[in-house]
Amino acid sequence: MAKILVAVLYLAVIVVIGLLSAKKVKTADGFATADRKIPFWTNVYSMASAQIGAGATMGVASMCYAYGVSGFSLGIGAALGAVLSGLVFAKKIRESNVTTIPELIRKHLGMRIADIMSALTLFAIFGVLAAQIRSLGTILQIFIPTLSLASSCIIMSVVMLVYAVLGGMVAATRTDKLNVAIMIISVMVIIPIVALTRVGGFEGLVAKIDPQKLNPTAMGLSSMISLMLYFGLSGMVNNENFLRICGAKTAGEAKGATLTAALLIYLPYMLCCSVIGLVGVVLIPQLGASDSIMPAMIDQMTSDVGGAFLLAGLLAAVMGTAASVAMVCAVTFSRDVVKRLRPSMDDQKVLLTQRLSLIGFTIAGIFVAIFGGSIVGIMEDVGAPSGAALVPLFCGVFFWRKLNPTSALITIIVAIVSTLSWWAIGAPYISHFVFGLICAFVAMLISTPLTYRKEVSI
Amino acid sequence: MLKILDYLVMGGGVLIAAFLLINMFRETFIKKSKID
Repeated sequence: MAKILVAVLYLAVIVVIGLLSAKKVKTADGFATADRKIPFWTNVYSMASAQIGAGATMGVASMCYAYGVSGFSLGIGAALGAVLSGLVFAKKIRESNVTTIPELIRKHLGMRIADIMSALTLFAIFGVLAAQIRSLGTILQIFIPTLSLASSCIIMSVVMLVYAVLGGMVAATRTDKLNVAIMIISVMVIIPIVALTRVGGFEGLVAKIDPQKLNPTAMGLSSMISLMLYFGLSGMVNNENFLRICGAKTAGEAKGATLTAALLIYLPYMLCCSVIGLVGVVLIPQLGASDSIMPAMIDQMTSDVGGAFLLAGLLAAVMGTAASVAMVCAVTFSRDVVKRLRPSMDDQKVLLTQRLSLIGFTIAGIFVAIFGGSIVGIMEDVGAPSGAALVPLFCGVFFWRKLNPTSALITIIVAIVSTLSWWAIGAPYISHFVFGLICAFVAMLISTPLTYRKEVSI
Repeated sequence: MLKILDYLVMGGGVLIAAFLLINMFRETFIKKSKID
């Protein structure tokens, strides 16, 4: 009963914040980037909340539960990607004065390449959105076990829609603060302390855990490198963070906020999740699916009311990311597809399109979430071609002036074809993302000087 | 050595959390930094 009450209370607070924020949103730009006036610390918490979703929370704990300390390669990759995003790209992105990744590509490589990247980006983000909706449904089921997965997914999507549709980025950044606060208290303070105390500290953990779990390469070097590269690079070129970087007041603040969020919140948070996963190996050795180790630990270690509060923290973590991913889908579709086809649309119509497309993507996401097979599988498979094409182009746009539309098109085609082919033959030795990425980089390095000279001579 | 890890994880978590939450409270209610 306490769990249901906390869940209802939490959802009610989220909806109220969304309704209050709706008054502040008057323009399409205000909806997307909060008029580029997000204060520094608000942006830090917002970025952290976007980064800390189902992957960082349930994913890191699950990998460490399944593979021991080697499972933290996911966390190392994700943290390195976030730091590199701040060090290398944040300032340049904010100075570009754009809102979405396709907009940035259009500015440097023209309409045709931007259109292709819009479609690829939308496809990839949509996969992530469906995965977040499925995670939201799964967590709500722990609160109310009698609910079916479909009903849970629908209820959580409606709540997310209410505040995201009405409040846009203003609501997202406001509720992000609440979400981050709950996450910090539960995942960084309460659960690690209770878990470590129960197991007898790290001394008890090392004595009781299967020694194989302490092997730093138990997962296999190849899998670890693939995992690090995938989560590192996809985190480095992150659509949700892109929107927040663009919302910062200045380029310097964009860089500072990205680095602060990565080092002060994201990395310590994932370290705590990994400790929770490792302690779970000792405390709950017979768990069926490693994905549910985080909620299972919460359920077993805490009282009814305390557990409800911690589960609300978990719900908050995924809710922040889900809303932010849905926002990116809507903004990218409205600005880069609809506005491109109907350039004469006025600001109010763009705002309406953003809100309607947010609803459309969420409904489609619910279907994929309910009927999709493996969530992580869908995310990686759908995201791989886009990531393999985007990472080389992103580097090229900022650091290689010779990059031109022709070589960009060759890079995209090679990325898509190589990723899908490697995936189709079962991705031997390395993951299809890493294979596609290597091929795309090689294609860009070879084709750019060749096509550049050709275009200049013309 | 392992005892130090206990203090690092538990103490570090508490310290970072305290800093972030106090800062969040200050930003929201005292400095009142708003998006408007």
